[in-house]
Amino acid sequence: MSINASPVSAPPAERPPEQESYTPRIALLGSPNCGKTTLFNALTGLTQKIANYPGVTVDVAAGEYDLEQGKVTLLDLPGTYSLIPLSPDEQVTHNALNGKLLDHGAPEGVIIVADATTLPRALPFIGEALRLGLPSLVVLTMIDELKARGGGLKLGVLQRELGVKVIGVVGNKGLGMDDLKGELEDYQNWRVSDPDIAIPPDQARRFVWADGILEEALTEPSTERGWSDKVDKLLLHPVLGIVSFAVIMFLFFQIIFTVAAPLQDLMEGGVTQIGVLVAGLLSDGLFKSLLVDGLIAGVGGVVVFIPQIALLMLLIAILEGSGYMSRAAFVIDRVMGWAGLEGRCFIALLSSYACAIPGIMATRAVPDPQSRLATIMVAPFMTCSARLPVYALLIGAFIPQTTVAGIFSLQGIVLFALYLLGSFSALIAGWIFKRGLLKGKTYPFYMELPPYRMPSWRVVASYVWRGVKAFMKKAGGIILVASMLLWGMLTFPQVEAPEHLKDNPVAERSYQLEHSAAATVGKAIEPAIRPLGFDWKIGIGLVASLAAREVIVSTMAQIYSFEGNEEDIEGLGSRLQNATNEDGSKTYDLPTVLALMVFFVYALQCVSTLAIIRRETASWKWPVIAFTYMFVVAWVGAFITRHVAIWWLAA
Amino acid sequence: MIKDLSNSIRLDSLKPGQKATIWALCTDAESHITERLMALGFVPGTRVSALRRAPLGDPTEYELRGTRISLRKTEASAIILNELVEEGE
Repeated sequence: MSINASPVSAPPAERPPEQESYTPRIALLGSPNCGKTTLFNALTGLTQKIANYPGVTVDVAAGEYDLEQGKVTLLDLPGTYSLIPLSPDEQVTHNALNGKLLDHGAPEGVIIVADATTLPRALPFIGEALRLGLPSLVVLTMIDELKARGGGLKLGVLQRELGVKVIGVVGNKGLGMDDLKGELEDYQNWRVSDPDIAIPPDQARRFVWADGILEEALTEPSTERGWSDKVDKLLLHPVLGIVSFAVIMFLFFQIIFTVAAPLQDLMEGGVTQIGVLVAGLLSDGLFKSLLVDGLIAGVGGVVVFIPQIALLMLLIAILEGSGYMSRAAFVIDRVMGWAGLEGRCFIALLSSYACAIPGIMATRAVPDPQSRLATIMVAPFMTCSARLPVYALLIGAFIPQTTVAGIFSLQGIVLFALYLLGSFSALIAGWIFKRGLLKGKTYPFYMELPPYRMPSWRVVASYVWRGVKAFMKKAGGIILVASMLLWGMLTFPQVEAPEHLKDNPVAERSYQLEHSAAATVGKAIEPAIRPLGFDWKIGIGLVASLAAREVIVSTMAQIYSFEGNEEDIEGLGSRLQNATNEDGSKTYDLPTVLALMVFFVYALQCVSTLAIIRRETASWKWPVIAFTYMFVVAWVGAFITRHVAIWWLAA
Repeated sequence: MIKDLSNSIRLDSLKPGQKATIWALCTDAESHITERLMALGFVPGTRVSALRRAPLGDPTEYELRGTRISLRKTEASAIILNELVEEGE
């Protein structure tokens, strides 16, 4: 079994570049961390989009750049240290440069980007890239850094030895960008490296060739990193490194809970007010019910969690942008190694805290197909942002707002525990998958720790915005549809309440709810979830949340809005607190709430994740296996949790 | 040049603070692994120093060719050093 991106069979038919609609392509090529994406962002601004090329599953960022005459498409190829591909995303870079990825063959020009401070390693790669024989421009970044560290570079010597134009830039400060833009105007005159230069095809000899050039061209800079080294002395210290890792992860969840909660209360108040307002404007009837119990209760019930989503994205973006994320991978790599995975798998798993979809896509950087598959199969256990509304609702309503040891919020600790449970389960499942799957060939593991940087506010803002936008899109799409469907299933078939209930509107509505189509579904599955303490209403929520996890929140909001008195404007949390069973006992006692949260730790209730697993593994087998095993683990986990909690409370 | 590889010093035995020069890459490692290690700059003649081990003992961060790169013991043991190992400061 192979899940590598399948090689594209043949380059698509060439179309003459003269055609009017044709936009020439210029690819940016470079190693990871060389500043390539910073340059790409500076050139394309906000016009970039993620382009999907047929035949492969890796996204290449593409952006338009306006020339004085016409325009070009800039392609940000996945970073690589070598043109001999090992991982699926390196394969994409390889295919793009060899004309096997894009329509119309190889790109019209290549910008080879390299960090000037790393030339002794980067120059052989530049040589390898020049051997492709495409019109090229060499752009060296971090020229200021090189000088600041006491190094020096003779661009003229490099230019003479390479046979193509070489320019230096400082991407994040905009220095040299005018030179680069000038060169872009002139892309049709970029040179192909002179064959007389004879760059060795053999890698070891290419290093000798490069060292020879650099002897004349480069004054090596010091490798000290100043304050970044001092921070590493602390954060990667044998003992303090582990302590700070734990503290950072712990604070992460404390902040999400304590900072977002007041904002969420505000949002909730707003949504409730809108509901009351709309209810007051309309006369009773199906349309009013559709708006109030369907749209506002459903979609509104989920939208109130935007503060949590935004804060989660913000914290992830800061950890990533500052350089701590790769340190975390460095610290925890040994644990990953125990599970048979590696640091790059860890980074993929960490991105899954936002959403399993980018996490699963990040596994494309993992060269080993077995590790990659194992990571894909466990990534949905990582607590994604879709679970956050569910946890926030249940924790907010049922975990007391007390502090532990004077400063830590108990609610934050419970949230942290849920994240830990998901993460450890992912590791254990990864270990099982790696044992169970055939052992393939081994792939080298290596990672770079870039210097710490102040995160760029622009990158952070766009990351947060993308997360919030995706969430709102979901609210306006799948959650809206689910809410409407559910409203229909709660409203129909319409039944006549018996006489003795007629003067009690709440009882009348309860009666309608009990006899609705949704209740039939909920009651049908109730026997399967009764052992977990879940009633048929939760059952409706679980069925509905198969589309997306947050849907359970909108569903519960709708069910209780339906039942509730119109004048009562309490939030969903207190409605759940007051919910009772037929015998008068609370529906949501602590064991049931804990069981429900554990169920959500494990169950794969996300159509989009199933779709992406199918896409990335190119088979239906893996999404089916993932769904099934996670569902079984969810049921068993919830069952054990409930019974341990009951036993513990009794003791 | 004849060298008894069984006694050779491998990169994974380089302690933080120590420096050495790479003598060769182990030929019994799979070729795609040595290819990639070379692309990262681990080529014969290159000076490499060990910077720090991760708190849990693996991987180790190395400095070479103006860059820093972390390798696990498994990969580092495919890189054979010249006997000359200087102590750092």
